[in-house]
Amino acid sequence: MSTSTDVKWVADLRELIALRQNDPQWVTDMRQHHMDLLADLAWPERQKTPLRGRHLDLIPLGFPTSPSSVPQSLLDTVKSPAYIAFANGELQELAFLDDAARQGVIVAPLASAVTEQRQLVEPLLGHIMDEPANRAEALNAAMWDSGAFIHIPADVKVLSPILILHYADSTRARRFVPRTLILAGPNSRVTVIERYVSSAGDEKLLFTGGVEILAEEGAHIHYGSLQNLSPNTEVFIRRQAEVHHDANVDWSIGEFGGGLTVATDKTRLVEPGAHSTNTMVFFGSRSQRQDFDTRIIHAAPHTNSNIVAKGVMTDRARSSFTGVTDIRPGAIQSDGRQKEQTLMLSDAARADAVPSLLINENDVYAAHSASTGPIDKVALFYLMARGLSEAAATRLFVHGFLAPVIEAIPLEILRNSVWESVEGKLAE
Amino acid sequence: MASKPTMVNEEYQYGFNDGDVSVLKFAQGLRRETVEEISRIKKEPKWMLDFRLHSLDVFYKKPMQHWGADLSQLDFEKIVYYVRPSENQGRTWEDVPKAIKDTFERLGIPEAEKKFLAGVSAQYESEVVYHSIHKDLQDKGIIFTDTDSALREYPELFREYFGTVVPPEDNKFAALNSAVWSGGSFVYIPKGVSCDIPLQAYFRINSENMGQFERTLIIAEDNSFGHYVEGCTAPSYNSESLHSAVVEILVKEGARMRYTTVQNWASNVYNLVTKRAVAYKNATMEWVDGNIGSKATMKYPSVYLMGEGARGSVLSIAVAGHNQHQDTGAKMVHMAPNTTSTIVSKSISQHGGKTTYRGLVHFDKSAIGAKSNVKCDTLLMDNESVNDTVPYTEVETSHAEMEHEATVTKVSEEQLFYLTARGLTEEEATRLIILGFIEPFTRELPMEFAVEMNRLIKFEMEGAIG
Repeated sequence: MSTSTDVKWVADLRELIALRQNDPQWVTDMRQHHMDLLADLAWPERQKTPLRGRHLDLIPLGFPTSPSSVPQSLLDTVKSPAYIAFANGELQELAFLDDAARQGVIVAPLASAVTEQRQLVEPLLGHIMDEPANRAEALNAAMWDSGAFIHIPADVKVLSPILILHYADSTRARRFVPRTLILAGPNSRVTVIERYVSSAGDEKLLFTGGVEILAEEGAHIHYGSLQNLSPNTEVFIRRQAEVHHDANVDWSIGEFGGGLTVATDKTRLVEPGAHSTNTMVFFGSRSQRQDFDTRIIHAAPHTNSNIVAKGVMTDRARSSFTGVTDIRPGAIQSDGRQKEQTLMLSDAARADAVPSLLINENDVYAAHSASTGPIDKVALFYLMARGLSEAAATRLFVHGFLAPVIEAIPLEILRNSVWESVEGKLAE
Repeated sequence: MASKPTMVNEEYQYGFNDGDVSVLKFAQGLRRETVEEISRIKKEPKWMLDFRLHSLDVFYKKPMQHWGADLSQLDFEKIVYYVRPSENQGRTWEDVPKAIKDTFERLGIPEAEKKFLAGVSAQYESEVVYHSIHKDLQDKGIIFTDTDSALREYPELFREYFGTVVPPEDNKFAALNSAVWSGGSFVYIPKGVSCDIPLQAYFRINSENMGQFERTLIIAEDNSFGHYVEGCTAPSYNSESLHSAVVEILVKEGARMRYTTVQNWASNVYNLVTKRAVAYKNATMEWVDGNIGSKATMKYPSVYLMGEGARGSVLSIAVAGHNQHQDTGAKMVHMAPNTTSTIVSKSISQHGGKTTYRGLVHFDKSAIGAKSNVKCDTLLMDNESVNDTVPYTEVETSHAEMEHEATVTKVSEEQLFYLTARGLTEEEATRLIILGFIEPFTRELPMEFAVEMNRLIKFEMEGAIG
């Protein structure tokens, strides 16, 4: 499998790892281990999204990333009591409520937490996620730089959301490798929102991100993610959570940017009473390729899940959504649901969906529904007859289509950002 | 609840066998000579021999599919590719050899014919041994014969359509069938003719390790109507048998065709079937497909909606018991404006059996105004049984609408309670709920088949409550 380009490529990356002098030995070993895997792993294989022809191996990942800073206007959107901002892989700003710190809440760059919070981080990092199965995942495990470690101790309820902003300036970087780890102790509450933004450029930028979440007994985590990367960014993102006894992980995912997006979302409900909802909004325009694989695994009795995905496709964009509700033997009295809806705004666009149920237990309820269709011509006619232009009527219709999921996002700041992203897409 | 209602996998009801009555039986294995010999015995024209040999090459080249049912136990070298049960094709019922006749008697074919069926074409192993067709249908110009006879008697008509809907390159098993096909039905319904009574064929595998590769070709000319009914029963054997059929149907402008299958293969049969129809302008194609039994079934009846206003529907049930995997579904490929399709799938898994719904709805760019509705429901009878629902949708236009719904549940305890509170035993109540669950399917069967279907379901369930 490995070719001479691969050898050069891997050697360059190994050098970069060697330069990371602040890494403790256990992290260096972990990076090296994944670097060893890298050359033998292929890029992700997705049935509907062939990656051949995107020449991912030609992106010079070894290109040294030079420092940059987050544009002020962007920084203003995340300013809240607790936030952490990264630019080109390095920490730029960290703001943190004093009383949160007093309660033992930790919000820190992962790169320093691996040393300062080793006893918490080491048992978790890379262990909630599956072992990397492809080149993008191995790259993240070997090369991650920006990203946060968040720990909420038992019984602590963090009221204001914690925001994480990642920014890459694509004139100064070819790789964008964030990694976030969230540990919510028993009966804790937290909302975390992560945003990814890159500046547009002529050169390709490779993004490979990872998010790991552990929800201990009775914890409630709401995790929101909004991706507005530039069209020259090739995006691979993997998010994985493990949900324990009576705990709850709610995902709100907005996928808007990137030239190519390959997303993998996996939630494991490992103990009775675990609960997860996964709400996703995607909007594909121009020649975007988006491939989503969202799965929830019921590995314990009395577990509940719901996947809701709404997509809007326009121009020549293509999307593929695979949803999997996997109920394992013994997961009695579980309830797994899925709903997928796609709105087609253009004849050159394409949307594929595979909403699957894998059911190995009979004392359960599992259901899914999926639909795809155009804008309702009657509704459009009605709006235009009342003086709206076709563009304005379409915009209103898209709003109506997405409102049930976006308005369900409990956090105003994220809700507004998602609406802005939708507006941005409609204005393209 | 103390005991769970489960359905018991009865010993196969038609699992008698007649001893080996065949006149000619090939050695096991598939070689070029096997194919040449089949073609020589059948005295086929050269083009058919060439077609078979080309298909054999395709079969050799195609890899085994890695998805769907587990076919790792299937050994192509252990299959007998041709068996001819008697020298001559039976002209009348009296000519049919007694042992074969006995088998049919037990399956109830003569009665079926006496009642209301238009023609009975019963396939026993590889050749059609008994065949008849009602006189007035013949007068209307309807052709209903076995596929081998059709090749001899209607060579031009045959050659025009054969292999056009399912080419050998389609998949490995279509290639295998194209290389060694034998028997099957040929139906031709002329323009404007309505065949009001169902055309019926029974198929039966008898010899051990015998593959059955029937090939059916149905042509419904403009504005015609026909209903073809196929029932399958096979005796039980211990080592694997292979059934790999190809069914090709052309439904021309304004015509309507319905193809009904009630299948009950023994639990050692691999049933790997390619069924496909093309529907032209304003034509309607309906598949009604019941899958009970077999070791593994992979079957996805499909309709290619090629002309404006064409309609397709698949209504299917699948029942999987111990060690059985029913990997079934449907494909609707919308290639023209205002085409519509409906898929209704009902699955029951019991005793560790596995059912998979695997379907595709595809809207091409030209499918403006097309609509599709898919509904899949599954009952899991016990906690060892498994169901996967994997519906693929591909949408390439913004002018089409697709809706899909699926549920997986167990027998409702509320319904059970209601029925048992009214004096039914748990077994009776469970049976009633299951018959209700599959009722949308049985409702569409010819009356006689509906009775048979309900009987089969009851056999499957008897003594279920422990």
